[in-house]
Amino acid sequence: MTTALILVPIGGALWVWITPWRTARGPGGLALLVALAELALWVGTTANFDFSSSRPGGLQFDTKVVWFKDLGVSYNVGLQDFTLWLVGLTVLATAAAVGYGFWVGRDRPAAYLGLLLFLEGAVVGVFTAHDLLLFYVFWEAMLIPLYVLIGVWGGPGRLGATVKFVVYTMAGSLLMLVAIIAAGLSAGSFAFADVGGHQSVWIFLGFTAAFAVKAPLWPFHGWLPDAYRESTPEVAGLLSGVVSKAAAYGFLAIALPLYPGALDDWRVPILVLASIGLVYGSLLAFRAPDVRGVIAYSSLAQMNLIVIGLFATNASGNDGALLQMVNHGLISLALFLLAGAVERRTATGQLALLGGMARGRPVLATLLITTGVIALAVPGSTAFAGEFLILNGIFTVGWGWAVVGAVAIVLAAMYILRLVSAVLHLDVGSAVPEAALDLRPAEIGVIVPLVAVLLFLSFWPAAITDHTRFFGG
Amino acid sequence: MAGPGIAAYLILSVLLFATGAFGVLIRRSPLIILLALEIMLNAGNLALIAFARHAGNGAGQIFALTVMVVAAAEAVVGLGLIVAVSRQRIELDVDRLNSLRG
Amino acid sequence: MINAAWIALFSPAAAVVLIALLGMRIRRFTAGLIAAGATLVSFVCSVIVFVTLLGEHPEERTHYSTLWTWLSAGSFKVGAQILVDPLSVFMMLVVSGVGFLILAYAVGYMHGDEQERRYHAYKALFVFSMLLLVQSGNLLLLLAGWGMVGLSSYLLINFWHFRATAVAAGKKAFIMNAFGDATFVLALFLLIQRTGSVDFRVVFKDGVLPHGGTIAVLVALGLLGGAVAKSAQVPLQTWLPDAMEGPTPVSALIHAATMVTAGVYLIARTNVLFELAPVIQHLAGVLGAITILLAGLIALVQTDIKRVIAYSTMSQIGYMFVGVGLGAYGAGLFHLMTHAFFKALLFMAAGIVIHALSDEQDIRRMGGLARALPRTYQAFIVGALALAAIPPFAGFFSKDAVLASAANAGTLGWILWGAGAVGAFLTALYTFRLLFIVFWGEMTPFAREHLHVRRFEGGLAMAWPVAVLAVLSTIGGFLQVPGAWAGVTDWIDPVAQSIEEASGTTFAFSLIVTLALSVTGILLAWRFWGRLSPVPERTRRRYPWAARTLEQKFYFDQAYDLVFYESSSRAGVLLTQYVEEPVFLRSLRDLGLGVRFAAGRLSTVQSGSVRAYALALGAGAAVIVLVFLLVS
Repeated sequence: MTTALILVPIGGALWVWITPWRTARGPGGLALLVALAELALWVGTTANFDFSSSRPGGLQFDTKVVWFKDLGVSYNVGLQDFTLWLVGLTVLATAAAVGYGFWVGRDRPAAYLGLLLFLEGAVVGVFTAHDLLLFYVFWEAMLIPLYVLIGVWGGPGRLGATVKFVVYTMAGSLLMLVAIIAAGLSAGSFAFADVGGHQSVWIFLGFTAAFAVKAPLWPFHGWLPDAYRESTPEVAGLLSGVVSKAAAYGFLAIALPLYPGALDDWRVPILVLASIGLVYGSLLAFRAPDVRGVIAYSSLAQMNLIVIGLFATNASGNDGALLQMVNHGLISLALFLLAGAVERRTATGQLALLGGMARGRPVLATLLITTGVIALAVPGSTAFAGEFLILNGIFTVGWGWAVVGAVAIVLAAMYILRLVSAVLHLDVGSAVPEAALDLRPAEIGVIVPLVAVLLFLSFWPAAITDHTRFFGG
Repeated sequence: MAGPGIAAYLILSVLLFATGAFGVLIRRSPLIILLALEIMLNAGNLALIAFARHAGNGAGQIFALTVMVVAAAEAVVGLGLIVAVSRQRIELDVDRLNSLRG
Repeated sequence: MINAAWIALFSPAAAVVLIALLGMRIRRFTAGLIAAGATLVSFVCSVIVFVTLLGEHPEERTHYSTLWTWLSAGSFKVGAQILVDPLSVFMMLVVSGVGFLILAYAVGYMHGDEQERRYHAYKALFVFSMLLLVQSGNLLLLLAGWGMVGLSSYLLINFWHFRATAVAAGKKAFIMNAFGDATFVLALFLLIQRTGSVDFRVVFKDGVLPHGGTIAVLVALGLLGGAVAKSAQVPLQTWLPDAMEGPTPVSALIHAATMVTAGVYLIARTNVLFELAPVIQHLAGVLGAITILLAGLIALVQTDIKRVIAYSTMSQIGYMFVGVGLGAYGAGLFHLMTHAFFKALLFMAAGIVIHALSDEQDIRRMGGLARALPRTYQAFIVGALALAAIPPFAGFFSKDAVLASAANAGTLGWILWGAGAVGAFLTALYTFRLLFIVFWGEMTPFAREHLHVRRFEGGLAMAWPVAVLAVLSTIGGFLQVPGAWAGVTDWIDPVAQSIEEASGTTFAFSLIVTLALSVTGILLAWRFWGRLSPVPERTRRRYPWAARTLEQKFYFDQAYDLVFYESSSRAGVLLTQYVEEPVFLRSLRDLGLGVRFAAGRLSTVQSGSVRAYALALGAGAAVIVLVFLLVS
């Protein structure tokens, strides 16, 4: 079942690529079908998943095939209760992204949509691999489609953005590779279950480097503004919504549980960085001149908040971080798609040129405001539930961290309201044409499910936290 | 199995190697350079075999055989290149064949 | 019974969903009916719950009900849980009752507005959030309702989002409330750390927190921060006057009758925690007293009809804070209820005036409206008398209950009583200033030109809720008559046992003094503005600094702009300019350029000359051999 979750999108990608398409709609239809099939597969998996506490955090639907026998490498995949939710985020987000890309009609649709599916397979692989080398293979496999997607379909500054992204990510990845080799060779096996014995600070830092760049943890975010601004909206949404979660997952599944010794020494420095990143990202988001800038820096802030929750290393912090990972994934993708919708209508993302778009566009206004207020974690929303658990978790580690987090809550309200007002309210902006229509049915069909899931989670955030016993309890 | 000591072989090997290296450095024709390279390789072979005999096992000989294979392959590729270049009616002078400069 | 409470909670939420999904398919009027109807359902259910509780023994009137687990982490669990007890039912009745009247009024008031459906959906969302706040059975859901009332308040304040002032006011309200939310959240973290729960039954248990300790003080302080922000008390008061940018029914419902009194409810609800930290509870009373005076003074110079009423709201909530701050919960909540009646009445009457004058709110352009709008005038008089605490109107009983309790509470009580007494004088003064300027005297040219009066002065839909509230403002005070019976206090006592109650001589003294002050206030207002005396103008000219300070609202806005908005904004700009750009963006580019430059230089080594390569190779080998020889 897990293998199918990995292979369906990758196989679908190959199918989309090699088929000699005659119609322009063909590849889009097939890619969307594959993405929806993957979503259905995930729903089926979830329905059959055993959430009972008898196997807390145990692997389910797992497969283990020996790969390199003498090195102790195997193809070992499986689902845990918390990875199930991350996979769910991935498949839902990809389906939305594929649908949006199909509707917009990107150039060379077969190549584009195939890459999105390939990316999906790689991310699912990252979440389900339980062998370090296999994890690394999937980790690097994520980079390939992203490299092409940003570098070929991006905006005018795409080349610089791509180079930065790749250089940063590769630097982190290579350190991780060294750490993986060191960990695997010293343990004689690359399985997650076996490698934790050797408590080396350097191995921990090697992993941390890769995850810190990908998340990104402040100050390793130099690639972020360009990559988020230059990509197409759906790629930016996947990048910030899903791919960054692979890094958080890395902390959660590898760096933290396997190296508790190193964690004790490095918790405070990392919390300091994450706290700085949280406030720093929020302040920059508050002054960013364009829609994407606000979303990009708010993403930076949110990811640093999630890292704070992870490094609380208690049930509250980790449950909150997991919930917030799902929340932020959906919020970020929805916001980027809405930003895309605004940019399509006005040909700009500069806040100074926008405004007054609520008039005559009730659907756009409703969706942007709904997503926005969830993003700023209004009490009662699922994002609030996530942030509450994160800060509650870190409060028991040290109250000062939680105070920083509380300050960031106020800042979040400031930058999101600024964004909402600058786009929707006040006088009609100079770049907003009279004829710019409300959201089209296809856009609604893509964005509404994301928002609907967020609303459902606001109604019942325990749907995730109660079905995650991995973190104790 | 008497014969000259290992030193004599090595001296010969060094002389051969120096000759080859000198040839590589001063000649401009790629054909001659290739020839000089072969001399250098064979100097190495001579040394390997001499050592093998001195040490009393076959490891050096195996190396020498490998080197011969490499030398043969290299000759094939090198001569092929030279033929291809001369077919283009380009003067065979390594100082002028410098289009790979950075 | 508990089912009725759940229905009361979810019926407005269902209305929101319904209006949002139906969208343009229904008429605007229908949307209004759905929202008002859902609130009526809530009210009826609240009455059912109330009647059921009445039939039970006073000590057994507490019922918890949990439908599902809302949030969990490890052993920490929070249920979607409601609590039905005398306090929550009291608030449910006020919220859904007054809420229904105002929603019904809004159907008439908003008639013809382009985006009426959106308005009614927001309004229903607000009622849902407010009911969640008062019905919640644990502090986390209370906070959820707390945040969502702030959200709906934001949405409604900037409902007319093409006005820059409305958008700014909405943001300001939301952000100041977010500030309160943040301190609230921190208090919860501390509570969870100590008790492992946010459930009322756990955190209110005796001996969970040490009395008077740092922990208790911090928890109470955090909760007070939330209460102060939501109830617009000093020092987080500046958002409320600006919030008057919203449509008038919004001001009536959210910024007068219900949401802004949530702080009072919070203190009454968590009275156990506040009593563990008497310092903080007294601080609540002191802040309330300061607000009474501050708001009363500012209201004297305001020229916007709604802002005058807004300042009076702040000052009346100050009385409630004095009440609950001194432990007179029954009196504080009693004032909350009567205030909801007469303040909603005043706002709705003001709304009719504003409508009649084509949306004009400046009182300097009004005057002599008593003849044009006689019924509105009468309603306004009822509201003003109730606000100024003149017997037998509702405000008299409740305000005196608060002040008399204060007079019983020692030295601090007397100080707060003094502030309240001065406040009573100020209240009468500015209320009747407003009344005389708007309704007496000659009509201004502007008013003559723009006046248009509809049947029933604003339409039947707007007239009848005003009439109902006028009746309630007149008779509502008799729920609690000193010396005879104490309906509200007795009802609330099982939940929040009042520490202070009015009694004996201090009560009589307090009553006489404050009544005298109120009457003086009215007479003075009549002398100044009823007869158009030059005294106010002369005073203003003699003390220009005082007038300016009041008109600038004691410069709180400017200070906060500087401290919060400007500093964050400046920090954002500076970080972008001096950190993000040079360190993270430009440095990377420079690094790339440097690598490219170095590579260009280095590439000249790649000469293409085979013999040069060979020489380098040979030389390199020679060097290595040499080094090897030397080392070994």
